[in-house]
Amino acid sequence: MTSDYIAATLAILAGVGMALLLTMVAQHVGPHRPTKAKQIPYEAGSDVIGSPRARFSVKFYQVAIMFLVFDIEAAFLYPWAVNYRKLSCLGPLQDGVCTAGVSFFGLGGVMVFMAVLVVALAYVWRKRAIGWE
Amino acid sequence: MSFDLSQLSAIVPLIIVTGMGCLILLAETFARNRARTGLASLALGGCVFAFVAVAAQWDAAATKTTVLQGMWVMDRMALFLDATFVATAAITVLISGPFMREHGFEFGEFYGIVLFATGGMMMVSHADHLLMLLIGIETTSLAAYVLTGCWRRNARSSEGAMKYFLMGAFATGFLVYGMALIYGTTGGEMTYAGIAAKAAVSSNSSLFVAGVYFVLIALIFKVAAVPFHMWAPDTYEGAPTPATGFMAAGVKAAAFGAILRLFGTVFGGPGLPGEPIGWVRILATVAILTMTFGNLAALRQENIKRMLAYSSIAHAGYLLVGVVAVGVGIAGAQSAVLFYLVTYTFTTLGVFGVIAWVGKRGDERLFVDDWAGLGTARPALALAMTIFLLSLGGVPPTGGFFGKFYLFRAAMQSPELYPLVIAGVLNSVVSVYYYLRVVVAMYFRDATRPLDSYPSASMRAALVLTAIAVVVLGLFPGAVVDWAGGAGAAVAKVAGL
Repeated sequence: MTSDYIAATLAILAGVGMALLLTMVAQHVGPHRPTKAKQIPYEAGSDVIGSPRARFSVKFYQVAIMFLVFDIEAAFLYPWAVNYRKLSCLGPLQDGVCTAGVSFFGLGGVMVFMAVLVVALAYVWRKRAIGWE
Repeated sequence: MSFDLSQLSAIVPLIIVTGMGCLILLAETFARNRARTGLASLALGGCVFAFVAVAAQWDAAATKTTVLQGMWVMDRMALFLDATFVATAAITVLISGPFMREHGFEFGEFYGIVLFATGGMMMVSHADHLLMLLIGIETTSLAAYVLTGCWRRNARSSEGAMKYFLMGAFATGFLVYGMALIYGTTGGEMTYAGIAAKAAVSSNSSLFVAGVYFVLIALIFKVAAVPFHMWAPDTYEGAPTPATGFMAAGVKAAAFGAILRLFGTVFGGPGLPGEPIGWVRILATVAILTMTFGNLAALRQENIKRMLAYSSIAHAGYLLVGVVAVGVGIAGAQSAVLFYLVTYTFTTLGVFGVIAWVGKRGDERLFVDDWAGLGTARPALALAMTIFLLSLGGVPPTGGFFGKFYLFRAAMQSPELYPLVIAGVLNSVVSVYYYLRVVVAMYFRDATRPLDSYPSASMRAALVLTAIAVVVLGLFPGAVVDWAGGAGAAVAKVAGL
């Protein structure tokens, strides 16, 4: 069973080795004629303004976190919507039709999930974390 | 997909604490300054209701049942731990309000986050499925990171939170990787019962054993045992003192609940005779290292919070002795660990409560020298602190004595565990030295600076409650031992005894 992986390992090693080899060849064989103009960050000639280590406002992180939360909410809703019929049926589906009666689970489960997120939304709204100012 | 609504009654305590947490978060956004006292009352109310709900489930949980598609186990051990968590949360709420007001960071979300953490701990103690365990541990940990860092103007608080978060995230990586290995090697088992059924066969697989060790690493990280203790001193020192008490008591108890259930019934204990995985020997070494290192390091600390952080590492070592005893299949070791957890919880909350109360805004009195003369300045407070410290040291007639007594008595039943017991007793003797150092400073030295503490009724209530609990546990341990015994027996029954 382990032998199945040997071929894959060899392929990976060959890939990594080839990349390293080509980089080294380029480094050592290629001609190097550095001039001052070539060494500046923008070879097009633009002057650099300020330090590369800029500090970002914490607002960006706020937006990023909130985006993640509601992005993941949407990502969860797709599989839920696809399976909604199955989740809402007390028994197995017969050719896509529910014959066993209706279960509250399909709707209730996602409602609890959304309610928790609504609490979070209301919280950040009231804390004025949504506006940029 | 069948789903029985009546099964939701099993998670009523969880619904109460998390629902109240959400309510507090929303109410906080409307609260103005003084109104935040109301948030503490809301949190306390939630704790009381949750406690009642837990107590109402006690009779029905005499035999173990599993609900919610194998996710949630109902037994007395889980309920026993639930009651401890809720009490921890309530006392933390009582202590934290006045502390935050005095030190000028009214953080109303604190109460809500304490309740979320409590909900997470309930998930851990009730988990019967690896995913439920993961979610519970993460809920608890994320809340603990926030509680550590919530004192934003205090650089130590941020430092502690950052260290705790980075290392905690790393430990979670171990947990998930371990779970993946267990899932793979048992052929897709995630429920504890399913894994337990295949553990004997799977323990021949080195990958399964590696998975078990990864899970063990993550859990002993959470209880701050050597060699995964490095975060604890910085985090415990930096966190606001009530949050330190909450983490040292509650989060640790929850992690021990998970260890007891996983290693007492799934990877060891009576259901898996002979313990083929080999974690018992490793955990025994870890226990000795943990208590010895914790106590030796605590001897040299001048900062009282840091000293108690090392002391809490040492206590994790004593508790691991109990876990080892459970692992070799000693009956009654489980209830000894549970009893120890209760006494340790109340003692720790009390001791950090006293630390939170001494000092005033801009002048936290955190060094042993700062406590000189407390015996004459605030005799009642000094008495409470003495009771808590003696209990931590295991001196009768406090709860800590019986905690250690039951724990070591259980371990004594197996001659292989004698070295552990000897190490434990020697360490307890060492620990008395640094606990008494504080007592000596309080009673036998004169104050160099005036000792202030701010007036607070809820702080007094919390300390009186914890002090009484510690003394009652020492004088009449019987009732709690019976409850813990019922909790321990329920697990033994599950394991097929």
